[in-house]
Formats: sequence, structure tokens, C-alpha cells
Amino acid sequence: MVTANTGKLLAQMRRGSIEYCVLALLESRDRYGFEITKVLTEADGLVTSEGTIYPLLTRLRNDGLVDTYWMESTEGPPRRYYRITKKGSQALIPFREQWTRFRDSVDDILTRGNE
Amino acid sequence: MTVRTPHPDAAERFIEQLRRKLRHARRTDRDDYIAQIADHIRESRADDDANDPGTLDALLIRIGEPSVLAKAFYAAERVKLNEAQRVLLWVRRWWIGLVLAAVLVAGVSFLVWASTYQPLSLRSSGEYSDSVVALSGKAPMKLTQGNLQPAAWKLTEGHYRLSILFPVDNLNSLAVNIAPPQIVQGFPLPESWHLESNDSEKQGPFKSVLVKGQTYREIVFSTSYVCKAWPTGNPNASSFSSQTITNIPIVMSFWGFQHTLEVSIQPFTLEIAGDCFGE
Repeated sequence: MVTANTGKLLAQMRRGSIEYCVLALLESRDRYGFEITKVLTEADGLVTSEGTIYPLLTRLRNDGLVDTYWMESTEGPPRRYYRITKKGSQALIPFREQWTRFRDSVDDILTRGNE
Repeated sequence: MTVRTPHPDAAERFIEQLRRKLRHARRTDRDDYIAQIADHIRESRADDDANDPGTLDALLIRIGEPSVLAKAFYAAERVKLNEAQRVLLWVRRWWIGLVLAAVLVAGVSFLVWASTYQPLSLRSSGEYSDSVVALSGKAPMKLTQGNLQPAAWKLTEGHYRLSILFPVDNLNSLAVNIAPPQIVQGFPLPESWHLESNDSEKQGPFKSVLVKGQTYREIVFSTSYVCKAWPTGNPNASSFSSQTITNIPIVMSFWGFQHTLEVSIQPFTLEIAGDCFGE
């Protein structure tokens, strides 16, 4: 369905891709929840409600794509860190390939539309 | 995990609202999520160095409405819930519970109504003087004089027909069925019936008959017996069996619900001096 509502449009585009953004963030290093949320929030349009990232993290953990551990913090209580699992890394590979193809295809079509 | 913030009212109100929105969630999952949100508030405040209420409000807006967070939480939960748990979660929503309760009450009320629905006005004609006739053999002997009640008939040897006129009035608008009654215990169901007012509608063998809404039907139940006198020397030769009929059990059915209506009739007695059986 084509919609002119920017919020809905972004939500549709976010759906299905944000999990992989989280996995990609965890590939470089383990991160705690607030840290993940902060990076995603700073990326324009990826997160509208910061609090909704936590259920997503829980789902990734339940799916075995990430696991967690607690680490003491010098700035307050212990933090729960998220670490990508082997299954998570494997899930990221096809997404990267397909996303690139998909993005290029969309870019191509959008460019043609301007010709 | 309890988190204290410099502005406990707004943050705690927010957490409390979220807790209310998640009240149907599994406790451990809910507490875990709320702890994460509380940590997030604490970390954000430390990161922003924002201690004034205006910044806290902005932070809470960034985190999202409790209803939005609850929706995201339940959406993630559903992924790992089995079907039964999903149904339970669905049913736990108060308005669905209310609707289900209303449907249940309506359903039970309907069942009670349908199982007690009885629109028939039943009465017997009371005219039995001609209701026992001999088709062959010896005529039935009337043992009572005039209108003395109950009328008594003695059947000795022959082929007899017992007929009972039965008017049925359906006072309401919904149709009901009536099934053949067992007029005399020990004898078969009526072998035929017909509408008294219209001989062309004679039917047999007896099947259940539909009495439409706000209609009146006169039905005659007929059954015949063959009686043989006891042979000479039979120890029963001098005895007879007697049966007084005071009512007829009419089985009425409505949408699968059955009622047996005991309809009083003008009593009559059959005295059988022999061995009788349904034809």
C-alpha cells in the first residue's frame, strides 16, 4: 500500500531491517542496551521510540541471534551487554547481500523515475 | 531493580503507567523490560546531564508512550508465546473479556429460553364415546352409562380402533414439532393420524408434525388393536386387565430441545378380557 504519511512510510521501511542493523552494530563489539539505542536513534529515521528497542533485543536473544552477559560499570549498576552469536552473524550475511541488491534496485528505479 | 532519579514523580509515573500497560504480561518478562527502561532513563539522564523537568519530559517523549512500548513488548512476546498463551493474552484484555461474557450470558439466556419454549395450548376434545370402535369382531362393550366418568370400555375379541381427537393451538410465532404420543402404555405408537378438519391430509404412519406459528390444528391419533379371547381353560380366562387413560404425553420439539407435555384428557378406561396386541 502506498502511503503519503512519512511516519508510516518510515515504519514500513524500518520493519524487517532494524534487527539486522542491531546485529551489524554488535559485529564490531559488544554493546549495552542504551548504547545500541543511542546509535540507532542518532541514525536518522531508524528509531522513533527508544524504548521499543528493548523488546527487539529480547526477541533477538530469544531467537538465539544474540546473547547477553552482565558487566560491572564504573558509572552505576551493572550493565547488560549484548553479544552477537554465530547464528546472528550467519543471519547477517544474506541480509547484507540482499539489502545491497534491493537498495541498488530501488535506487535504479527511483533514478529512472527522474529521467 | 529500582532506579531513583532526581525527578521521581515524572519518571516513576512513567514507569508506573508502563507497568499498568504490561499488567497482563508474564511477571519476569515484564519486570525485566521495566528494569531495562528504568536503566535507559538513568543512562540517558547521565548522558544528557539533564536534570531539569523539561529535559526529562523530552527524554520520556523520546523513549515513547507507555502504550507504544507495551505494544512493542507484546508484539515481541507473541513471537515466543505458544498458541494457548496467545489466546489467553487475547482473552485477558478487559473489553474482549466483557464481550465474551456478554456473548456467554446471551448464549446461556437463549439456551434457557429455547429449552423452556412452549407455545402450545393443548386441550382434548373430551369426546370419547365414539373413539373406541370395532373394525371387526365383537363390539366394544360400554360399561358405564350416560356421561358417567370415566367412560369404561371392555374389549373382548375383535379388531378395535382407538382414536383421540387432539386440538393443538400454537399461540406464538415460531413453529414447533410434535411427535406421536404413546397413548396406551404397552401398545405401539399411533399407526396413523390425520387432520380432523381436512381428510385429504390424512397421513400414516405417524410422523412428527409441524405446527406453524399462530396456527391451529386438529389431529386425530388412531391406533388399532387385535384382541383374542383367552381359550377355554386358560387360567386368565376369568380375569381382565384394566387401564385408565387420564392424559397423553405429547413430545414437543423446538430447535432440538424437547419437552414432554402431559395433556389431561377426559379419562376413560379400557378393560381387556383377552390377549391384545397392536396390529
